[in-house]
Amino acid sequence: MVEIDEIDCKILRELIKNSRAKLKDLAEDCNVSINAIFKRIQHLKQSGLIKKATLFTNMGALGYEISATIGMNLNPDQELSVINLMRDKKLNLAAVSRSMGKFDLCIFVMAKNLEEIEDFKRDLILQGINKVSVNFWGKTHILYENVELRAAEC
Amino acid sequence: MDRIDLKVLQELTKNSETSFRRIAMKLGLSPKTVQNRYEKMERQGVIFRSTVELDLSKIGYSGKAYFFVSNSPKYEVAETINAICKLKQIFLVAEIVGDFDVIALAMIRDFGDAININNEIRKIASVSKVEIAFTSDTTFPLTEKFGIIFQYEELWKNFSKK
Repeated sequence: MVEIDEIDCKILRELIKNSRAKLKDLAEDCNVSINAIFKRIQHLKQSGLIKKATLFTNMGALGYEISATIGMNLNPDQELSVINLMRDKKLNLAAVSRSMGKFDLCIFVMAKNLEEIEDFKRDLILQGINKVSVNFWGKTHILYENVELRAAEC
Repeated sequence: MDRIDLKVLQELTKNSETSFRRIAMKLGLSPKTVQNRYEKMERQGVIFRSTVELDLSKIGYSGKAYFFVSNSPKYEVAETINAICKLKQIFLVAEIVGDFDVIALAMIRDFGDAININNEIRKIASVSKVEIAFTSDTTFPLTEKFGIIFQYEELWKNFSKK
């Protein structure tokens, strides 16, 4: 477990909003020196808490206008065939998670048109995976601040 | 959008802290061009933001819970969404069309967390049914592959490791 204090927490929240934030600005916000910010970020990275700095892209603007969560129930031996199917179909996947509960596998897929998803669903059924739940996404609310990074934070 | 835009996107997706100067060198452009492209894409809404990916298992989280919520026909879906948005640990709520009406994603530390959130959602008057799926993915805030074309070999490797 990585121990983080209030300042680390604040840095993480700021970096989620903007990973290109200037050290100088972070230092001012947190009321510590630039050097201290630098060291803290290094520590957060080395500990593995920060995995990478990346871009949050609007896939809709890149032509992937449809996003859907597909939940399915399958036997463990069908997993590989689903992965292969996704590869062959060149589906643009944002997330693939093995899961427990309602579904055994949840994928989040972004597609250019409805047909891509229809095709995929039909192929799943052909593979013997009958329990497939397709749910298209509408308006999304992002609420990162709801997640506690530190027990004492709120 | 053209090839240069896509190249800039690609470089920044790999590492959004890379300086425009370094990207410019790599792509044979001027730093000013890269900056202009970045700002243009930000303005146009192609880039939501530069962000960091955290692994919350390092601070005690064990996974995510997906709540698939059905709305009672007597109520507006907006009521359900507003109420769920107020719950702790829920970081994404969307109206969906399909077998369910609303999806909500929460980071969970343990089973107790999931049960608490589940109970809170069930208490909402406009909710008729809640189904849950759990995963052990602790990446936050985005899922690992959000916004980039997927590398399948990598997927299968990661997948079979678990």
